[in-house]
Amino acid sequence: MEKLLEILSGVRPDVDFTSETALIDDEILESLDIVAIVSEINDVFNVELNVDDLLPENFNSAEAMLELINSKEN
Amino acid sequence: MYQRNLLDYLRNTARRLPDKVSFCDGKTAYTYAELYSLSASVGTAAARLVGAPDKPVFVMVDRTAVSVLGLMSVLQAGCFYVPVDRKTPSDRFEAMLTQIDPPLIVCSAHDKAKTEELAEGRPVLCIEEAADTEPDTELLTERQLSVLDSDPAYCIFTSGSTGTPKGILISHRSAIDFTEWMAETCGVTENDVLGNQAPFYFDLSVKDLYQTLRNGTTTHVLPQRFFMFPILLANYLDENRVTTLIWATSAFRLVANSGMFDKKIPKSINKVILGGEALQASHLNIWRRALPECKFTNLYGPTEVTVDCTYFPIEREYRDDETIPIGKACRNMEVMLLDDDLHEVPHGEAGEICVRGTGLALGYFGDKEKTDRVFVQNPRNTSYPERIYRTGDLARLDEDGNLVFLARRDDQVKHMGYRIELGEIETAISSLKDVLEAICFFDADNDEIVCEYRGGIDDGELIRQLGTRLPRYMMPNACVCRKTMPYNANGKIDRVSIRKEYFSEKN
Repeated sequence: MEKLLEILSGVRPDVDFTSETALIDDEILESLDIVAIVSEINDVFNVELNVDDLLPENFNSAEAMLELINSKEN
Repeated sequence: MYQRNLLDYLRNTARRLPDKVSFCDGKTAYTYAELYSLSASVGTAAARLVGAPDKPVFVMVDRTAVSVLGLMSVLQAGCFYVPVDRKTPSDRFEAMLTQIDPPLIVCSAHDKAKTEELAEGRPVLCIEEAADTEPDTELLTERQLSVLDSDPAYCIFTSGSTGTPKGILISHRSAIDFTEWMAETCGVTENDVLGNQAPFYFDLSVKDLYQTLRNGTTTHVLPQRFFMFPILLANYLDENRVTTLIWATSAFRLVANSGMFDKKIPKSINKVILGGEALQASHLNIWRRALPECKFTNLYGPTEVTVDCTYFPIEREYRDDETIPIGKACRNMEVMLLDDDLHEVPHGEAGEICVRGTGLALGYFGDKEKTDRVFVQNPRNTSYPERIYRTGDLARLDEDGNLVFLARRDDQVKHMGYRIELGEIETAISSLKDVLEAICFFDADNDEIVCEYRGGIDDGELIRQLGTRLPRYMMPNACVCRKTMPYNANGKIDRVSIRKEYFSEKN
């Protein structure tokens, strides 16, 4: 989780990713944020998130993103 | 005698196609008859509160059909609208309020409380509440009759280099002339279905608004989240048989790079009209491979010339490394390429794009000095006063007589489709209490605004504090806190060496 939080706060240092659970629903993240987050996740975790993984429910919270990464690593 | 007015488009189409849906957003859909009658209701309430025609009225806009109703209501009241992003940071909103001093702010119900807080005592009109007002046809007619087609229809804010955003005033005449040209050239008809991407505070949306109202199309206001999750976008465009996209090039690029077309191709799309920043052939080719029958058009123009002043229909294949021209001047517009002394440059050489014609803005709201600096006498015309607009963009003519965009003359950049003055970001950062000095530059390869600063706060705190001053799209994407700044012989920050250092470390 730490690695992920580091990525997220690098992209959006103004957001508290430990507590937000509606990053998409509350329009906190914007399109370029998602592009940046996906590219960082792919690099750092050595996974390949593709267009099928880009769904709102996978990005509403740091936890959801971690779940997605774990599912890809497995 | 009745003057030409942008509202005529809605009035005429409401008569012709009363039951057809005009704008919809997933929650709300207005038929043309509804949009017209509701805007007359809200317009009546607005006219009473404003008390006179030809006044600027703020409209807090979102990606909703209600926002369109708000804009039309202001025209009904014989005033001109100033669309303001509902997410505008408070300090920036205050600067806009001080500059324009609107007698009224119009907003939707979910922004009412916040808008009242920001309004500094000005009246706030809630669109949904005012929709029950009995229309006063006599009052609206009286107000509308006093509007000339040379009066402002809207005022759109763009970034300002000295730190304050500037309001660009566009007349009904200019917007109507552009809309008529575009309908004929791009061939939008009532059989088309539009997918709106551009926010209503961005002048690109003027194309969506008035192509819809003029031609009687149905326009789907696409939610922001579609541009993060391309599969949702593709499904929606497909299910709703969307035919026409009038988009910012940045959104076009985002979709091209997303891999969306590998999964789904919305085959109903037959027209894509682009503008807002330079179009890369590599992105175009991804779209063309997916939609080989689709017609693509590249438009160019700053807000000061009423959306666009040149166009280029893309009619041949382009290699990924080829430059796509911005084309030739739109009707009733002329583009000249001039040097610093306003002399025409020889054919094929780089010159500043200077424009004359009906599209020219009335000027910047409340800023004669800035207006006079860029709207200058046509150097070719020594017989009578005639303005041209100096865009600050450099271009050259290619062998086919098409304009090819080269670069900016100054610190203005295009990022996420928005026109941004880096000076405005620097001013905002430098004004923070704990920042001693700051410079910004643009990393075009990575589409990032980079800020290097000296001061006692870390980058997270810097971004947090900037949150009340700058909209999201103006936020630096990379911040470097420096212990020292290099200076040149004149004692100014050495921008060249900072940029060199940054890019050499990056590579």
